[in-house]
Amino acid sequence: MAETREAEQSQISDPDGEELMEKNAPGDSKNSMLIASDSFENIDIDCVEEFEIKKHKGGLIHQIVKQTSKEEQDEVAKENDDQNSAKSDLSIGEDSSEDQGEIFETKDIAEALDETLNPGNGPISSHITDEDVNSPEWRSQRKHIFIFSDSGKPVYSRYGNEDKLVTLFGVMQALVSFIQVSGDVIRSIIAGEHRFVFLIREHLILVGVSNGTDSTQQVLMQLTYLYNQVLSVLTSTSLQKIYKQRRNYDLRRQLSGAEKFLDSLLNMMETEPGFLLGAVRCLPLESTVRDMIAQSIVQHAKVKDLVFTLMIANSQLVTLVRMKKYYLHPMDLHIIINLINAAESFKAAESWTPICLPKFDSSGFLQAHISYLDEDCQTCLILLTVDRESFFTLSECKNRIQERLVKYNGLQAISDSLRKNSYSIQDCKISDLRHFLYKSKSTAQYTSPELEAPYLTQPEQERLFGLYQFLHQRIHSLSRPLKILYHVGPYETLLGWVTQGFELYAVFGPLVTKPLAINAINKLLAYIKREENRLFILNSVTF
Amino acid sequence: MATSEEGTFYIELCKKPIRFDPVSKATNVFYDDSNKQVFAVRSGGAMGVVVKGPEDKNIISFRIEDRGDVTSIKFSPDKKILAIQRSQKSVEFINFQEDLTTDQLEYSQTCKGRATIIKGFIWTNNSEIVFITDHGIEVYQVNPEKKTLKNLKSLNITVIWYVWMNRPDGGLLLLSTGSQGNSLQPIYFTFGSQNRLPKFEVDLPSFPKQIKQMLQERDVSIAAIYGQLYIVVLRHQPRPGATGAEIVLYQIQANKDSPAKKTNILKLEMSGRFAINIVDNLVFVHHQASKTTVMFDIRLNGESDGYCLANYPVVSPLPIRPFKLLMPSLNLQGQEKTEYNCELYSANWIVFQPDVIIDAKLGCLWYVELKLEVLVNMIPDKCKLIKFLLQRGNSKSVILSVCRHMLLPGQQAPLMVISRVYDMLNKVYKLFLDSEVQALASDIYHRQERTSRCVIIDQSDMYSNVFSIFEDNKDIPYKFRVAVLIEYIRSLSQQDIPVQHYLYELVINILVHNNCFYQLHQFLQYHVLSDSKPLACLMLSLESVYPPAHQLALDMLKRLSTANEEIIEVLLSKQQLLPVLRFIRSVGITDTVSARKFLEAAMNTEDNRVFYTVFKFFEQRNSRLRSNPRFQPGEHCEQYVRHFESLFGTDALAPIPAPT
Amino acid sequence: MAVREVKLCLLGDSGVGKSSIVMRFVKDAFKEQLESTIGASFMAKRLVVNDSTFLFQIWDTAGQEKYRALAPMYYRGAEAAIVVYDVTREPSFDSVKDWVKELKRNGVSNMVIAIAGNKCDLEDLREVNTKDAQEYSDNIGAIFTETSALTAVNVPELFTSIAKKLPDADVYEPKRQGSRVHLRKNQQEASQRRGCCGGEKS
Repeated sequence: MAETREAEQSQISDPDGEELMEKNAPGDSKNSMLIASDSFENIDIDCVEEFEIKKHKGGLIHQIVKQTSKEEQDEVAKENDDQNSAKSDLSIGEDSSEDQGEIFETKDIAEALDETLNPGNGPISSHITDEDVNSPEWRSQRKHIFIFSDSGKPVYSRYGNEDKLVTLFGVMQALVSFIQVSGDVIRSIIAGEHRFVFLIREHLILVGVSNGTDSTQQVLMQLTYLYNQVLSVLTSTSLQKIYKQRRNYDLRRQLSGAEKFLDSLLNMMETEPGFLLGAVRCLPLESTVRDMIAQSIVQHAKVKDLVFTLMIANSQLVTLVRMKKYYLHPMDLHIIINLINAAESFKAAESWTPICLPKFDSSGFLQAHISYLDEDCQTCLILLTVDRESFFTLSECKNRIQERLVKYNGLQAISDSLRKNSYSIQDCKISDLRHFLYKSKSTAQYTSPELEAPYLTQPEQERLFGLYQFLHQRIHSLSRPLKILYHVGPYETLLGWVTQGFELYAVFGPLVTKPLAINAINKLLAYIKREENRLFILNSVTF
Repeated sequence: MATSEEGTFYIELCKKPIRFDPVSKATNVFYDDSNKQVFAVRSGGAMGVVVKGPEDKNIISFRIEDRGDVTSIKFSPDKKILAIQRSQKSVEFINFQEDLTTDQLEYSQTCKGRATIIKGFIWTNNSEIVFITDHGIEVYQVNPEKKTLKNLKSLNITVIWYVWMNRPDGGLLLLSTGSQGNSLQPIYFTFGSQNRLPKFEVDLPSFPKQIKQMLQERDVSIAAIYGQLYIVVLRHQPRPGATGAEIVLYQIQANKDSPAKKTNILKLEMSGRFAINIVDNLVFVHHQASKTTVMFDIRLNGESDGYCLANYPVVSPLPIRPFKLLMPSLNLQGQEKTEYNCELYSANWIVFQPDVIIDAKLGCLWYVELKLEVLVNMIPDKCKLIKFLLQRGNSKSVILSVCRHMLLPGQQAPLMVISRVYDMLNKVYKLFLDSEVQALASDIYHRQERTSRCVIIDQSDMYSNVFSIFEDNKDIPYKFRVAVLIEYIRSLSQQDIPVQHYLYELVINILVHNNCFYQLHQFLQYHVLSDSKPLACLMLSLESVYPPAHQLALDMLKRLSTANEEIIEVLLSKQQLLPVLRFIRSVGITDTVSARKFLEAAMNTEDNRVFYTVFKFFEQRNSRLRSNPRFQPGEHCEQYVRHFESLFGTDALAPIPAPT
Repeated sequence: MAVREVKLCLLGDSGVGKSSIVMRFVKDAFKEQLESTIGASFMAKRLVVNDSTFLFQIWDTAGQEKYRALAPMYYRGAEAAIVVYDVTREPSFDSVKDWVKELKRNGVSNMVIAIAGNKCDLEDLREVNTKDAQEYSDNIGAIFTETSALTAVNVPELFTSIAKKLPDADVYEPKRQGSRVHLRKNQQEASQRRGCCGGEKS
């Protein structure tokens, strides 16, 4: 749901007289290749309707297929309609009228569930004689994720063996159906230290159990990502079919081998702010270099049916070339990045694999040509097409692009940028500022400096991420969204600021004062503005 | 004697009277009230003159030629010239050396006029003597070297009798004139000058049929009471038909143009022979017939009729404590002395001002003394008692004892009374403190005068003599203790007297021992116990029993605004690194503190996040001060820099700006 | 000398060692715990047999069930297929039979089929005996060999045998393009038969 309510106000005055000057958002672009997104925009809570609508519409893949088989003029004539339908397709779920504020909380159940995850002799845990549930290691996990079918059949558990957790899955399924019987939907349960968040999709129920810093909304967002990851492997059509035929089907047969994507996605979401922000990070490059790379792709991969071509290095976007009228959603891009990150096998050889991008079209597969362009397997080229037969064509495209990038030192530039580490916070020359996340809303891209001292160790980095989660959650609180939040914590001072054009989350030393912080933010925006051509992809390149 | 009887005498004769040869045919005894000396003159001086002063060592012994009966004999104030009057016409002088020996060579001065009779003489300073004659006064300057006198001034006035009172700066001479002797002329002598004060008349009772009344010399004396000079007049029968005598006080006015004013009437409600002493600003009236003494305090028990105050005795008349004199036994064989019960209120008594009683027959000179300890039990009203005691010279221990007893179980005074008593004490205390402050600015003379006059019960007196009872007597309920202390603190505060921390400490300790932390918290928060460093330190020490005390202490130190160092130390000891940095920044001492101390503390926290922040804080300070984030060798921060590098790497050090 | 391009496809259950055989053949390398293949990966390798140069274009398919429906995309038009099983896992040999049936039905008519019993170095754990496999292969006219990607036993030989068995005459022109409509139709048929589906809309 889009919940950020922007007030019509362009300046925020601080009581100390310092002012946060709302400038044009650095990194702003009218011409974005990604779908601009607000945080949490993509949490579709009521997906049942979404499915109904999609069924009747036909997916984008189908459109592209239809389009390409038609005459040019025909295509032009249809453009508007297509775009409209594409738009509305993507905005599904945003205008649901169902009340979502209600939190289901029954003391008994909440206690029982907490018992399950906390050592003790509660009524439920006494029934469970399973080793996994009782093992301290399993219990001590910060975040559990469970996926099961609406008949209660286990699909995935982040920790432990699903087969040993059947009782637990059964309880969760029972909870869901109990509430459903009364015509309601369970959303979350708070039980002691634990927060249980439910995401109910057709056929699949996803449950996140967290005792960490993330909010219900954030867990919901993570569950949505997981659901999309499942779709990315199976497609919604396939999922429908499977369960239509056998309600009791063990989906693990279909997902075998894909668990690692779910695992890696979960791990990534715990460290990568892009998920939180609904934005991607670009590899900093001089705009001329980036243009050259994009042009290489445009010139050498002008292939019919090629929808998107992306280049990704170290989880950062180098460039994206898209088919006119089609945009990539950051959520889908994250799915692609996760795919690249999770699978070592792409490094061995050129691969040709189907992938469903749920935000683009959850009903069908795109075919992906995936290859690394350099020996060190740093720069990955992904060509996404609707043509299953175009492997060799795309393979040739890849070779030509590669040749060209070698010739014009494009790969060198990428590897230089990777080696240099994005940039240091010291480059900004703002004392007290330790780290920040800056998201340009219009381009759905974000930038942040390297993790440096004092965030050198894993626990410290996790803690920092927790701070961002906290800040993000407070700002995007559904009940009380904020434009600015200044928060003095025990180890750092946080400042979050959301405007029409950007979202900024800054972490300062704990001793910073409000005027200093505001001054720093203004300096930071000027810095980002100066560097925006390097840090962001401001031009969208199309075939 | 039973102890109960012991307790009923509040007036005593001093334990060691000055003994002298009793009056006999051969011996005359004189008392010079100016020098407080008793002269025993044997055989007109030929057999020797023994002079005894208030202190035993000052015995002067010499001989003079016997040239007839001595009628008056007095040393000059510096004891260098002895004046002797043997006739009505002249006074003789003998010089004395420093060692109180004399050449016995007399020189003489005769009064003026043939018919003039010298009634007496007074030394008004070391070299000035005044003859009072029936025709007036003659002032002479004595030149002992030349053994001559020079007449400085004379005043013609018919004198019936005179009364003299010696003062440190001279003295007051009161001349009785007029047909009834009731027209009194005061003359104030000071530093060689004479001030004639306005004449005034003492009203005499009017008895139409009787022969004319005369104001008698014996009924008039001069007294200094509470720093004021009074003419004390005894009226045996104030009004026709009245039975009780009374004493009228005429106050000499500070304004020299105003005549003495009748201010007080002391109601004796007895008649007969009276004698008056002034002891400790109290008027003692000895009544021979009843053998009792009655005591007046003109600041107490006054009933005003609009013009003057009628005063009543402070307590009922009571006799002087019986006095036992040790006399050599009549038994010749024995060396031992026998006790001799002196006759009190004897007809042989002569009373001198201010506090001297002489029994000439017995050869004793006593000073009259007031026993406050005894009196305490006679004044049940504690407020009145304290008011009375505060006026006394030596009452400190008595007051403290009274205060102490007010707190004892069984004798406990109501809190209201205690509160008023404390107010009285502190009012005096405050005046003293103010005068101290003034004295610092002005001369010392006034200061001495002031302090000698009032009894100061300060906080340490109260603490060690009164409130110490809380320690000794565990039966006093803690609520009462706290209430008493708070009353005292309130009273001090009301007088704007800074409260000493040990009083707060006492309150706090009582509260803490009785687990009244909530009350303690309230007291502190509402500043009933005002801020001080010692108090803050006490609060810090209480943290273990009452954790919020720590914060209360810190807040207190902050309010004091003079305790920056203490705050820093406290915060550092608690490893409150961030608060301490915020603090030093807020008080603007960032640039002067020692970085080392903070880095050390930060390192000891073993919290790398804290250490990082502290390190960066000082890096920034260094940059600000020297445009270089590095520490200077003199700061001895090398080990912390190394520690920082080991934690975060050298890259995390702030970059040194390139020289421009 | 002409280079003969040979489109070859590896099939078989997940984890039998298809990718390892390819890696051994193409790069003469072996990696423990090789990740499972996503979709399919493509590699090419030149092989000279009897003075003829063969360029093997190898499709290494993923063995996981979810990719099963995609297999026709890779084997359709392939001149040769290697169906791999794991000698230590009996069920993987059962799958071989299914694969062979499918290839016979949908593959090109003169497809060279080779059956490779991989992991033959793990003799202790063997579940499938050589004789049964040999007999089966002989029955269907397929090349049979037991290989070990780990020890390289029989890997190059496997490809050499395939090369030798290929029909010599005309140089095969692979149909790379093929209309989409055709593709979809094909797949539709497959999914109808298998009761399982890819990204198709009904």
